[in-house]
Amino acid sequence: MIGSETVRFEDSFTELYRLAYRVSFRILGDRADSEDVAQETLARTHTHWSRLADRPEGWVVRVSTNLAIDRYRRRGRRSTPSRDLSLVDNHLAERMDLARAIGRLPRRQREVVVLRYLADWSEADVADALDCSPGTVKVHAYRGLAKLRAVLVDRGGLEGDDVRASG
Amino acid sequence: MFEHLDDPSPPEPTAHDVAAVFARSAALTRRRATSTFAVAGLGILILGVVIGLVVPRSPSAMRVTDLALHAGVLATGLPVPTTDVVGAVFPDDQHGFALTVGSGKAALVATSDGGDTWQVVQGDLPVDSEAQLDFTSLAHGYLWGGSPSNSGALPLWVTDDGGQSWAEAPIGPVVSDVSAIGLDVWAVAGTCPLSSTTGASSCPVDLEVSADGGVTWSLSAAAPPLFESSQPSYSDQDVELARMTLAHAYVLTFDPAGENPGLERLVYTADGGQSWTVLPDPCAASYAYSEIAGSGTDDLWLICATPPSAGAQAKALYRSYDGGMTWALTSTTGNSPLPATGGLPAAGYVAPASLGHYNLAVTSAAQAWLFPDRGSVYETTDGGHTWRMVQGLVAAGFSGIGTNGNVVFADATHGWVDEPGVGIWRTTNATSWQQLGT
Repeated sequence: MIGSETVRFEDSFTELYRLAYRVSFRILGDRADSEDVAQETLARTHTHWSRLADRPEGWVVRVSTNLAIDRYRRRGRRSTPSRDLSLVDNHLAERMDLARAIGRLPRRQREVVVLRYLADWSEADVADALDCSPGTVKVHAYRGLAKLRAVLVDRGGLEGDDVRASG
Repeated sequence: MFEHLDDPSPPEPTAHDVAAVFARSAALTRRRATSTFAVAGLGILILGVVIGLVVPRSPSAMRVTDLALHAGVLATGLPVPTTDVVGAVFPDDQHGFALTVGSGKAALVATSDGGDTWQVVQGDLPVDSEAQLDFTSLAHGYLWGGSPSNSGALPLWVTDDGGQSWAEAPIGPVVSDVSAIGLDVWAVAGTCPLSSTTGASSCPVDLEVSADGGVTWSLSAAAPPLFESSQPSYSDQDVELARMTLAHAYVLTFDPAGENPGLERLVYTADGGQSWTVLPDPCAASYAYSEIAGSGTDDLWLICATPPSAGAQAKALYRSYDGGMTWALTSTTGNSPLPATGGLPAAGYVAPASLGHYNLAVTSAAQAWLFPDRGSVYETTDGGHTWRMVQGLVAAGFSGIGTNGNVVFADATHGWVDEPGVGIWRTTNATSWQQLGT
């Protein structure tokens, strides 16, 4: 976590860029698109830096996730290099389902699931970022994952144990 | 949990990334400042002084970030900035309709001043953000595509009140493309529900016809000799319907998975769907059908393209002057095996690798506009033999960084370039351009 009001945007750039790229790549699976989303996320972060500098990571994760999902929906699946991707990306179907499933989660569940599992934050960090208790995070994570599981288990991308363990 | 979806070798941000971020940030700040000071400041000042409390205050325009995070239904009348308008279509030179997105929920927005200002007409559309939109008048509009229903259907939705209410057309189950001329509407529909497990690799396609704006429908006398995949996608774009007159139309089918080249076919009817002719495929090896447009029943422009990769795509333009019976290679991006000629841009994607079929706008046998997804806008005035970047757009602040952009023309001189997330530009003389809403 960056966590200081005195941190300059330029000093945080690399860490935040990596974070935005990782989250968007998990959804998009496309390097060029993920770089584009990371750039757009960082640009928006910069315009809001005065109020984000203390704790920008959660905002970066949420915006990059929304941009990635929006990008996926707007592009349609063949805007990814489908003929090539079918050869190099074994997780294309899972990414498609993941984007759709996350996009349909209620707002709070979506925030928790994205921070907890797309950004790999601890429950304590998620609770801190969302200003709620770890128990609340646990409940939203359980419910959100249950909905993701309904979509992803069929693809083999999310095992039942993952859901139970989080609950 | 999702580590297996990571990029095994993620790129480190470069100086180019830093520069691009600051450039985008500056553009966002300029737009926000313009909106805040010019619209909100001046508007509140004038309204406060002149009208005071007599007229209820209009809600302020939501910025793109607010819309991206917005979870609820956008209120009717809510102003929406031009940066958040996607897929704009214009039934005349002043009135337009478009979609905008809040947390995945699509809303219909409209303009009555040529695109300078937009307001929400219906915030609770029955489609997702990747749907396709068309309006042929201020009242009659059509929505299709997007994410399929749980039963694998992709309906067509019809409005006759300017988008305030929508009714599902009794056709389908998978409406792939629609074209309306006045109240005469054609819809190409796949006959199999979309399914990831049982979807047929080749599903017959029907042509549905309506003469009353989409209220009642009937099958064409003969079905087009086409098939499409019924594997699901977020925006079913397996078919492009290019209608030239009430009776003349071309229908292009794609091979969405690259696994069944037999799906790719171009057919033509000159008698309202009573009979069909399969036309020859001029695309070179490794190239596939991409976009078709025309200025008349016999004058056709066909782009063939390779699969997109890393922001670029090899493209080749073919022209036909006899309704597609013979084709002439007119310009290319210079990629093998075709010779370099004409300066067709390699950067950017064209349909079906970009959402919708509005990357190529043909305004006459000599003039056309090309706006590939994530690319710049190019123009030809010699029938596609040479292409050049539209400098008037660049001078007006166009950046070419947006995705799924559209170029549309209401006539030979009135056109719009829509760069989602960035803005809309308009020309009224096909030469100079002005950014709207700034």
